Amino acid sequence: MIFHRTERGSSSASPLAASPPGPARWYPAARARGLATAALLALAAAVLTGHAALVLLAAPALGALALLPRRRRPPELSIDVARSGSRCFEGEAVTITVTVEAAPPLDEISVELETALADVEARTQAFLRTGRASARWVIRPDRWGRYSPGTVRIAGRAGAFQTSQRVDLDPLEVFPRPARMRPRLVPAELLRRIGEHTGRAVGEGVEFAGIRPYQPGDQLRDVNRAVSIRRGQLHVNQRAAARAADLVVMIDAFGDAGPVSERALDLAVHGAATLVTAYLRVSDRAGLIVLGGLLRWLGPAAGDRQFYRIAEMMLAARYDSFVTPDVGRIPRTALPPGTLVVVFTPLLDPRGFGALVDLRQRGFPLIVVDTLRDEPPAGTKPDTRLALRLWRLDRTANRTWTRNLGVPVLPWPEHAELDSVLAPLRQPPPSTRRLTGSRP
Amino acid sequence: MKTQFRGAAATLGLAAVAVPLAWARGWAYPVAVAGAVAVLAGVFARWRRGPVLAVAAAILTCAFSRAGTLVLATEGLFILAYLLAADAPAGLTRPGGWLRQQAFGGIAGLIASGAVLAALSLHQVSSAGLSGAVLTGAGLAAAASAYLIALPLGRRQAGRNSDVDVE
Repeated sequence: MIFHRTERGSSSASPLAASPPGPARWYPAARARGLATAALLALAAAVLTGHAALVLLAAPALGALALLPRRRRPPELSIDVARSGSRCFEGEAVTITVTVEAAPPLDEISVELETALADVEARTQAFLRTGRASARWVIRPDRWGRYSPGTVRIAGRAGAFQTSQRVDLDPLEVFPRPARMRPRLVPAELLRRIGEHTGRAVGEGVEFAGIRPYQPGDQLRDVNRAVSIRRGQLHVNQRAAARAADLVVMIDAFGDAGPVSERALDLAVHGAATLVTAYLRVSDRAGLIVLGGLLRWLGPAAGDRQFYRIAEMMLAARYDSFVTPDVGRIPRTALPPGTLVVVFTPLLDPRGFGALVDLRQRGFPLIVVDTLRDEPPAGTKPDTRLALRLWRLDRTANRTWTRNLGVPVLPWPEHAELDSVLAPLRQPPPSTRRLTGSRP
Repeated sequence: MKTQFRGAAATLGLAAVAVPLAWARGWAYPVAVAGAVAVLAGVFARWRRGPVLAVAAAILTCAFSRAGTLVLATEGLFILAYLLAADAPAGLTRPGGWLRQQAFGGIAGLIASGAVLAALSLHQVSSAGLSGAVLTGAGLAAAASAYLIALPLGRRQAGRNSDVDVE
């Protein structure tokens, strides 16, 4: 058997579409075995009971069995498994194409995709009396992570013999799909790098920053005619500088394995993907730190490539590790001074609190997004209700303690977009801030 | 397997199990029920041993019944049709082509059944006479030939593995 595996639209060094199956083994087909067994049972019954007419039960099966063609040489099979890509976002379509070629042609070729993914139509496709069969499926992975989309099972029958092969598809990298949002949260002190955020300093941006008397060298297009006429002296508009920001997203992946931790991590990864995409789109720099197991970090950088590097690192956040990271040793390259740090944490693990304290002491502007949406089940017994109240009090105390550090804690409720979760922290640009009651 | 094939396989299997019940004894009913369960499990749960067990139940019921030759001939054809229908591959895009393929097996079964019916009508062999060496030898030879057709060639070929060329 010859096995090919290809990745469409990629170089030969790209990840492979499938693992090679073992050698093809031909054995009596289920049909031949069924007919032979039926005939044998009927003849045995005829012999044992001495009832000659029971041969009538065996005769049709023997007749059909005799008609099954037998071949001295098993057909050669060639299996080609191709995949449209090795990376995709959640919900994105990935096409899997399996082509089976046999010489001489087979009576039946059946190709089946065994997958846990939903919305896959016609998982099994059968072909009759053909030397070439091609099956195609479109899958839409709905869960981020690095996992195999399934197994392809190929069965072929040639007369009284059949073969069966299983081809395990290689892991697919499914990135979390980022929601759309605008990057409106920026640190107070922006970088001296051109970007799209309105800084406090006066510069060459587009946002109005103020008015001042004309000075030699000012451009005439900046002259504010209305003010100049009213004051009898030339005045020019000032504009705020457009600056870039640095953002580092921190994911707290501490916690026991289980559905609650899984949901919190899922929320954190989606939030991180949303933030990173939004900031990278406007030429900001974004980085990632994953707490949990071995400390993994990626320093801030700009560009689309950085998004994929961050996404790949996020995929590793799901795997458990018993390593306790030294959160006090996050390197300076991972957290440059003045970086806005957004921490997605369920606020459950003390090591996560330790990281928050450390970052706050180092003077970073911090925002904490609480990713825990689950609560312990409220039982019917008074003890369980009391335990739930204590748990809630403990959570409130944790949030208060974090707020007392000067770190805002934002809960992320169900069905809420991250943009609206961060809305309470949003402030208008410095130039447009006005005191209550002042005239415009 | 498409829905209509599943329905056909279930109907044929249940018919194969139920037909001999009219001439069967009382204890055959639990056997038939077990056979019916095997039919349904084979068709809907894709239990591989289901068809064989259902056929075994049907043959057992027939063996201890007072069914005549015509009933047994019909039962043999039901068994054949059920085994063929139960083997229908899932996800068939052209069911007509598959049905035409099975027609040859069905015709061969009919011819074999007719030949045996003709032989039985020519030689009105009594049940006592069957204990003779002729029928025993013929039965064993037929059973052995049935297995020889299917098994030995496959075993010889099992060790001859093909090469795997990974590109």
